[in-house]
Formats: sequence, C-alpha cells, structure tokens
Amino acid sequence: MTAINPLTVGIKVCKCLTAFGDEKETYHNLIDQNCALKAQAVFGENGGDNVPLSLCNEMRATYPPRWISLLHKLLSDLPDKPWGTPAYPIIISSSNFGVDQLFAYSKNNNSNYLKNSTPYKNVEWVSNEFKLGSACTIISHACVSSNIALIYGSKLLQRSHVEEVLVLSYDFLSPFVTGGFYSLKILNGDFPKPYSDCETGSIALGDGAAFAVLSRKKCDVNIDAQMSYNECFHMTRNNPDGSGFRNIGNLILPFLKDKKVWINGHGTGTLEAGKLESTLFNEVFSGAPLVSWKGSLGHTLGSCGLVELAIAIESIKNNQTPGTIGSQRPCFSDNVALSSFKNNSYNGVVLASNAFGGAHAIMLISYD
Amino acid sequence: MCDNLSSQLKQIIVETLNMEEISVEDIQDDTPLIDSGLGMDSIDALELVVRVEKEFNVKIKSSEEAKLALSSVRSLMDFINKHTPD
Repeated sequence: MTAINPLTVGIKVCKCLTAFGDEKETYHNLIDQNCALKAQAVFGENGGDNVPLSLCNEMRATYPPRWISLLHKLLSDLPDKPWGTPAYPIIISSSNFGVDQLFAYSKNNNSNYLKNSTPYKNVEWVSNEFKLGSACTIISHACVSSNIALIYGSKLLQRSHVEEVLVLSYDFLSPFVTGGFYSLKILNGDFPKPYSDCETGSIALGDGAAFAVLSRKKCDVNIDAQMSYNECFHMTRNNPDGSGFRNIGNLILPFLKDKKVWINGHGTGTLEAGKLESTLFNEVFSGAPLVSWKGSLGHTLGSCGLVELAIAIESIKNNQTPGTIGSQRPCFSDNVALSSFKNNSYNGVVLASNAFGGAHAIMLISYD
Repeated sequence: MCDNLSSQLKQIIVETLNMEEISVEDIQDDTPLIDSGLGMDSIDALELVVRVEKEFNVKIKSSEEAKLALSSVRSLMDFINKHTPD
C-alpha cells in the first residue's frame, strides 16, 4: 500500500512529551547526549527482570490512568480552536489505546478500569476530558500509527471546508506492553545501541506523546511528502533482502529534488532491522547523515513518528541535530552520525518509521 | 540422559507447534528448526522459547541467544545442559 500526499502541508505547531519533559527539554538533553533510559523492572510494581525503560512517571495501574495528567501538561500548549468540529477535525493515534486499563482490570477486577479500556472508549474519554468535539478519527497501526495519522490529517486538508487538523498521539507503557516485547526477547537487559555492529542487541521502550497542528498554509516548517508501504513479508520480521527499506526510500527520493537532507531513522537497536535500515538508506540517500534518538528516549511505539518530528523541528530551530545516542563504532555503515552536527547547510529532513507487520512510513520535512 | 533430553525436546516441539504431519521420529538432532528444516517462524520460536524456559527452568536472554539455541535440537540440548541450575 502506498499513500502519496501531493500537498505541501504546514506544521503550525508541534509539541511532544517524553521522560525528559517537553520538546525543548528533550532536545537539549539529546544534544548533551543524556540518556533517559533506566534499568527498571519489566512488570513495574510487579517486578521482573530489569530492562531499559524511560518513563514520565511510575508505571503502575491507577484510576484515573497515570497518563492523564501528562496529557494535560502536553495539551496545555494546544492553540485555542474549535477542535473536533468539521473545520477543525482531530485524529488521535496510539499503538496501545487503553490496553493498560484492560490489563489492570484483568488483574484486580475493578470495573473503573473498563471505562476507557478500548480505543473507542479511550478516545471518547480523552475527548470529554479535554472538551473536544466529535469530529475525531482513531488510527492505530502499530509503530507507524502517528505517521499514518499525519498522512490522513494531510489528506483531510485537501477538503475545502477543513481549516486546520489536530493530530494527537500518545503511547504510555504498561506491563502488558513491556512484557510482550520482553517475551519476544528483543527487550532484554542490554541497553540499545542503534546501528552499532555488535553481537547482541535490545530495544528500549519509552513513554511518549505529541501533537501537531497541520495547516494548508505554508509555515516555517512543512511536510513536503509522506508515504507508507508494506513489505507483506512476515508478521514480525523484515524481508532480509532489505527491499522494504529500499522501497520506502525510493518512494520519497523523487521529492527530494535538489534538497540536502539529514535522516532521522527508526533505529530501535534491533540488529537485523538496524543493519538493513542504515545500509539501505546509505545506498538510497547517498550517504546522508542518519541519526536515531531511541538509544536515549526508548521506542515510543505508535507515537514515535510524531514525537521525533517535534524533536526534529527543535533541531531545525536550533541549527543543530543531536547525534545517535548510546552507540559506538563500528556501525553497520558510514552514514551513521554519532555526534551532533550543524544543520544550517541542510534544507530538509527525512523521518522514517517502521512497524510489526512489515509497515513502513516516511516523510520529507522542508525548511528554509 | 542425552537421548532422554533429545526425545523430550522433540516431543515438546511437536506438541508446541501442533505439527500434525511430523512425528518425533522425523526430527533429527541436527535438523534445522527455523526457516529450512522444520520451517518454524518467529511466532513458533516464541512459543517454543516460553515452553523450554518453563520446562527446564532456564532463561534465554536475547533474540540472538534464542536464534543460536534454536538452531537445532542439538543446540537446544547444549543450551539447556549449559544453563540448567545445578
């Protein structure tokens, strides 16, 4: 499946929340090469082996959920518009809407947890909490959820009555999610070293939320093109010939034209996918510098596309891009940037994400 | 002990993966378990890892370790022998 957005879409506002704080705090911590990850019990209050997690607050089942105060903090900066009306629609994405609450219910039978335990109930509850209208679309597509939400939001702007679109994404961890990755052995006691050529690897997981206000009007930072693609190869594994990464890269390549870009890759720290991404992107994008911030923030799952977009915009504003955190040479390929670098001489960023199910998403951000 | 462990593992493989057309006798100690050979995919591997960890009280720490241990019945026996608590 491929979706091409022919519109240039302005990013009016883009903000995020991570374990470091807002996008500014997160950006400066990444520039300083700080790591938000801490070795913590995989099942939270129920213990288990220590694995690398970055959390905004303690991972425990509460009602109201632990993340509602965090969403209040994030959305305190939301511009005042009639969000959720036909002219100002909302798209809300996550990879794990409400599963924390469903899991808590399965453990203690407290029916309060059922009030927002499915995607629909969860979004309805959030809409009520923030007094948002009903023109709201829910999108969940594993770790490219927020990317797909951005594509859909951009498409909505093609409709003449739509003025601006709010894309909101949130993924807060629960033992159900951390335990799932732990059982797959790709979340273990190691700390992630994105793109490093080493013998063992682990991803890390992190809390993350972000929003963007998209506009038809051109802004200082714009999305010039967005695509998605599916390998249709395997439920959890990428095609080992790298065709998924090559194909998604080639889809956006014609839109680069004379742009000089740097790349924010998916870069979770899994050895196989990391190697495919860095080597194939090195080939497709002719050595453009590639960074990953998941070695510090962890993988913020369905929200990672939007969270990392907010950090990329901070990088543009500050003329400096944080390098790949947590890694050491040798890397799989020479394009991996481990240190931060000046980005004044660039005028574009490519942001790539991929997900279980062979899903890929990519976008091209332009700035003057 | 070795023969017993080998048979036990083959039985676990057949049971866990619901292999209707393959019996314990069809699996050799050196038969590759993943891709070629028995053709296990990553979800099958996960199920087998969970069962082996439970039955033998061992811990497979990473996906790389799992890949090595699950190369064949023999490699799985080696892993269990090396990591079983005394």
